Amino acid sequence: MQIRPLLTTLAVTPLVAMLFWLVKLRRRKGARQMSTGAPRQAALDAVR
Amino acid sequence: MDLILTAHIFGGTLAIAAGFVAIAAPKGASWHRKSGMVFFYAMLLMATLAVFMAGFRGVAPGGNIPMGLLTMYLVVTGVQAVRPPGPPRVKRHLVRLCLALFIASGSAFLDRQTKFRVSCVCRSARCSRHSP
Repeated sequence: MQIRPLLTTLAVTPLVAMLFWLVKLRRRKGARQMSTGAPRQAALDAVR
Repeated sequence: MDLILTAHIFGGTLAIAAGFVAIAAPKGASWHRKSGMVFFYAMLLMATLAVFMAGFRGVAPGGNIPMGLLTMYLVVTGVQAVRPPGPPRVKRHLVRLCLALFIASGSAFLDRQTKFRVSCVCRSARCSRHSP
C-alpha cells in the first residue's frame, strides 16, 4: 500500500492552510481599504 | 519504553491533532481557541523534551536543538500576537503557528515510511516496497 502520498499530504497541510489564509487576509484587507477609500485618501494627502 | 520519548511522542501526537482541529475550526471560535491552547501546551512539552533528548542524549543535537528552540519561539510569540494588551496581529499569529505545526507534522510524517511499517499488497518478491 502506498502511504507516502498520504503522509506527505498530512505534512504539508499546515503550509497550504497558511498560504490560503494569508491570501484571504490580504483580500479582506484590500476590500476594507477599498470600502473606506484609505489608499485614495493617503494619495491625496501625499499630493497636498 | 523510555518515559521521556513516550511523553515526546504523546505531546507531538496531541499537538498535531489539536493543530489540525484549530486549522479546520472557524477562526476565533471557541473550538479554535480551546484546541489552540491544547496545541500550545502540547507543542511546548514536545519541543522541550526534544531539546532535552538532543542535548543530553546526543540525538542529532546540531539539528534538533535549534529546531526545538525555534519551535518554542514560534509557538510562544504566535500565541502572544493575539493576546491583549495590544491589537491582535492575525498575520503574525497565522504564520508562526502554521510554521510550528509544519515543523511538528513534517518531523512526524515526512520520510517515515520505515517507521509506519506498511506491507505492500502486490505480493511480488521483486517489488522494492515489498516488506518481508
